[in-house]
Amino acid sequence: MTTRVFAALLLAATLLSAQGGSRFETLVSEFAKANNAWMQAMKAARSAGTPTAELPAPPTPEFATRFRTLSEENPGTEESGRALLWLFVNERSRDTEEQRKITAAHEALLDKLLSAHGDASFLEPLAQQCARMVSFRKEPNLRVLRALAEKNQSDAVRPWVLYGLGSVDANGATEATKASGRAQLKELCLKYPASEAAKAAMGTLFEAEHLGLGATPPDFETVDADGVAFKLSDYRGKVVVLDYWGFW
Amino acid sequence: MIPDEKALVQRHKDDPFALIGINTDSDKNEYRKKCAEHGVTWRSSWQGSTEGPLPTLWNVSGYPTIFVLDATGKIRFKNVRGKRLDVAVALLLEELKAAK
Repeated sequence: MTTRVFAALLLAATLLSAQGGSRFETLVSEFAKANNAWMQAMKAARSAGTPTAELPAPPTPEFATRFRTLSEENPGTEESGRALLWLFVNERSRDTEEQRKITAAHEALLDKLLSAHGDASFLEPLAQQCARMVSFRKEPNLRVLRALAEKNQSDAVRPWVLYGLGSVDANGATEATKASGRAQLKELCLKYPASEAAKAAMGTLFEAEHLGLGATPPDFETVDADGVAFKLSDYRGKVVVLDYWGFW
Repeated sequence: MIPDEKALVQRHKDDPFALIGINTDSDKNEYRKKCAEHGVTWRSSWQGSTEGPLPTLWNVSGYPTIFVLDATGKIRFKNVRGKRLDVAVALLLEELKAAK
């Protein structure tokens, strides 16, 4: 799960860096450079056995200050909005107390972002992050998704909103809620078939339909690490523990 | 987790039982080395990443994710671990034996 979260953040950061206004763009590429240098330094320090307290400090806090300044210079502009989004996605701290403060500040930042830029298509990384996270942590993800559902009609944002809200309902308490969740996910798959969100939604729909207790999952054919093919149905007649795992 | 699974496989080595892994590591050589190190003898489907086709289709987002299937291929337990996994397998084996 941590890997997923990290991957989602990384993806969001990549998406952010791919577009944007000029000063924002410059800052993003400066950050990318500083962050790469930091990751290299961390790798070197780790393999040298440097104690945790002496590991190099990440560049994020310094850049957070610069992005914050940028966001406050011309409030309401797209550049300001993108800077707010950068903060929401990237700003964090190793220190628990510090992280608590940042999280609280982000709540306010989110309100600002949604009220000034709620209809912007550049909010896609936000929509994606919230949609992917909402099943692990309801708030503030659900609040963001609901706000976006109301305000944002962009083809970039909409699929993620449908995915996030649909998955929450698909795992809801009553049959009616579940059915409504599945309906939202189906709408997403039919309307935006090529989107990443639709790909994720197909997984959720498959799970709802085929992976409940008492369901018989469709057979699959696969290969092991030695390239030998086998099928799930090869094991009919046996009690089977199917274990999704990894050493990593 | 691995010691529990090893014990489970060992305990049921003469029973109609199989543990099938869906492995999501990315480096095959590293995977083989670690299997030898940890004494992992059971077969795993090679997915290459947590974004592989099966974890994507089955919507698996946490690891490990466990499904326990009976002899007819039905899902009977989900995400049982440790002692509960032992009980789940023993119950299904007992059920299978009684049906014969």
